[in-house]
Amino acid sequence: MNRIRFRYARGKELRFLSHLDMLRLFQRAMRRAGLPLAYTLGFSPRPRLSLAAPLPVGATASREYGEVYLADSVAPASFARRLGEQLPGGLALTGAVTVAADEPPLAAEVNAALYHAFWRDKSSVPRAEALRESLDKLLAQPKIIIRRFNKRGKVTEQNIRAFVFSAELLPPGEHGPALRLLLQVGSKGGVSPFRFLDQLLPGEKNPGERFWRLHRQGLYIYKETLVEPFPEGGEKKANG
Amino acid sequence: MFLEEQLETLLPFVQKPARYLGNEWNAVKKDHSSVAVRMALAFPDIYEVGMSNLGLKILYEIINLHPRMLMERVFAPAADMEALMRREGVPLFALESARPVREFDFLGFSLQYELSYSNILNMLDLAGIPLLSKDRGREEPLIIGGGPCAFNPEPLAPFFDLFLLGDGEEALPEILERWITLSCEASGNKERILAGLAGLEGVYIPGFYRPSYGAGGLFQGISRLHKAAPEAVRKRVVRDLERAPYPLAPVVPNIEAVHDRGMVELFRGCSRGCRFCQAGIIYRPVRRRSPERVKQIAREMLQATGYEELSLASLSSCDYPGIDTLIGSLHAEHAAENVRFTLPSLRLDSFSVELAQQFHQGRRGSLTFAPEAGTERLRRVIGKNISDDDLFTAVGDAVAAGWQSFKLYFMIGLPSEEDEDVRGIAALCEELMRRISKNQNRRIRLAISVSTFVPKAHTPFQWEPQLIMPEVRRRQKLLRDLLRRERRINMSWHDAENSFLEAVFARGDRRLAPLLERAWRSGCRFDGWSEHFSLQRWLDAFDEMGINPEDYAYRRLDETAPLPWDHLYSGISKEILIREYRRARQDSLP
Repeated sequence: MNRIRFRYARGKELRFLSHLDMLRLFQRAMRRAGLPLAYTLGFSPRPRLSLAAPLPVGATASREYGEVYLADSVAPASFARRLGEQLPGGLALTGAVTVAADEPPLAAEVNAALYHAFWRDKSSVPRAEALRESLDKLLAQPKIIIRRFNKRGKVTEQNIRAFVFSAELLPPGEHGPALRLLLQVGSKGGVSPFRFLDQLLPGEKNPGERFWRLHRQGLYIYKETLVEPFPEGGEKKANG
Repeated sequence: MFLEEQLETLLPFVQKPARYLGNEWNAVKKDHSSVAVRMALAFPDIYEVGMSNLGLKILYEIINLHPRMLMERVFAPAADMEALMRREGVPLFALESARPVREFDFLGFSLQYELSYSNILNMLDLAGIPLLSKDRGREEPLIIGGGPCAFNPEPLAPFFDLFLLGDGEEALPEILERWITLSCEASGNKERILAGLAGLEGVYIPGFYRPSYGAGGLFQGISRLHKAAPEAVRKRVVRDLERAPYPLAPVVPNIEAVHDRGMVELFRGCSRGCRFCQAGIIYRPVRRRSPERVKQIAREMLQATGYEELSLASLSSCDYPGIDTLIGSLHAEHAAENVRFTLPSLRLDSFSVELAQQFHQGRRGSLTFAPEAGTERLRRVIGKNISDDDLFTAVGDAVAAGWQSFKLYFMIGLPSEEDEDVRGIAALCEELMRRISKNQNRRIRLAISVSTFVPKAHTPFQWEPQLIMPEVRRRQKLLRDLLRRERRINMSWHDAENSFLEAVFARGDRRLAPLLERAWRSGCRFDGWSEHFSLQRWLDAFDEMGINPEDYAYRRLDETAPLPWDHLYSGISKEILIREYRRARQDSLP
């Protein structure tokens, strides 16, 4: 069994795909590439394919990761080339490496996501000062409560303060202010960046999606420092 | 990309924005300046429905393979997107280039079901294109329609410039090719262009004909207004399906389509003569692809799409000679790739143990059969000559091969139906469950879907009235009550209201066109979707226009009188239809 971790970027052409759409897209691209996918056992076999930390619908991204098990050995360089050729415009494969079978799964490792949010609405640009004040006030609170509907349609409350590692202003972008957000993701809980952004301008309807264009810079293993879940120079290995 | 900035401001606020972006694998983006004719193909329903349509896949690939032509796709925007487009002044645009569809040379509509007509007007309006053909000049695209409803397109006649009857894979490239020549010669004169297209077999120019109506509003016939218009328009038929082009690299949707799989058409047409079935008439004659060609298509399509499921499609796939051998060898060839091969609705009398076994590959799924009626007498009337035992045997074989889930299609309101026939549906299902549960401990589930009979143009039942709505509802309830105690049978049914409107338009004439426009203006759209459909809104529109919809749906037509679609020839003569219509009435006697 051959376990391969790959890295990819998502452009604006495919920014509205959901996590399930992305899985289906990768699965079909791998089938087109003729890669020997390994399947789960049982009544309805599925390829053993996973993508780390669902990317929010609407967001573009620079460094996303996935993992797949193959039934035969395929060199990472060959994997990257073959899969890369089968991806539609808006997806780019930027690296592939072999991972030892005893390493923890990607989903268990990745716990932090770094986002850049850019103001998109030219017609109403907030002053940087006002935004900074709002941000400082929000982060100073011991609790940040968001409300959402659960599967039964009931409103539930959730304190997301602990999932916000950091949030700060960046130098302004094309249409106005920009933010850098480091948020928790993964099995220990997390928050959608759009729902955090909602809290900055309360009172508007869906202010997150309405005012901000979102780009995920990368996913990380965050302990003391941010570590990419991908070996240093992964591309090189992939090419050699 | 055109309109990009406006779309950027709309898409974050609509459901499933990927519907409007394209960018799928195998989508074709051609340079507009590199071709001589550009066509937008519109499907008047949402993306997920339209992307499941085989005709669209066929035409898209054929036209785009042609170096001088391009085709892009457009679907009906859902209500939320429509509202934003209207608010922001964004015109209807094609997926591939995001260009407004009004900039194309042709805008084609796929006419699959009558309840999509209001969406067609809505899409024209969203495109900023005048609704009526007579109000459009050389600046606007030619509006063309094709598909099953083109065999009676009269309610749509004033909105369209031309219709294509029958198979499109040879005719559409011919139409576009002829247009390239004509648009230079005729320097954009629309009437001369249409006159030039009228000579192609299968092309119907509604503006070249005028119907007349007599006392009491009876249709009296249609007369030709233009010498280029043929007396009768014959449908186009692709003679050699084996060599006809077939889409080997269809677009793979990024979001899940209703039928999210590859489709390999085994054959076109159907040799069974079910008297209610329009598809059985208009797709004649039966033309098959060889097993070798089917396997080659499957191989290349799997390679080009990465699909994990291929449907072996046709009107009656069990009737394909050697179907079990074919599936066996497809399974053998693609064993390592984990591909699922599926069949749409199956014939009860040609389903075999061998087939049941070939198909059961340890996956969940259900088998679908269409007995249509509950008693052998009524099945004889509709020309579906299968016995109760055929059903018991077929399902029994499938259960023995490991299947546990079944779906059965029935219709209510078929000609000569009595309560006994409705009770017959329940009795048949109960007897079926009794038989297949006897030696089995497994949980077997049966889903039955009950639609309402709609008399369709060009069928032997085109003269029959539709059952009145209150009576449809009473019979539906009768059946529901009978099946209530049977927990393993799950029944679903079509709303009588939708079927009523479908019947009105299926046998409609040109007087319905202003009514259709009125209904659309009052807010009707997505009439096939129960959450959008309002019969009251339609009835109000009928009232305002002084038209009684019951005259269209509930009337038994006179077999000697002319019909609004008599000048459109399906390939089956009216004499044969009358003979079958009379036979059905004889068969209905006990």
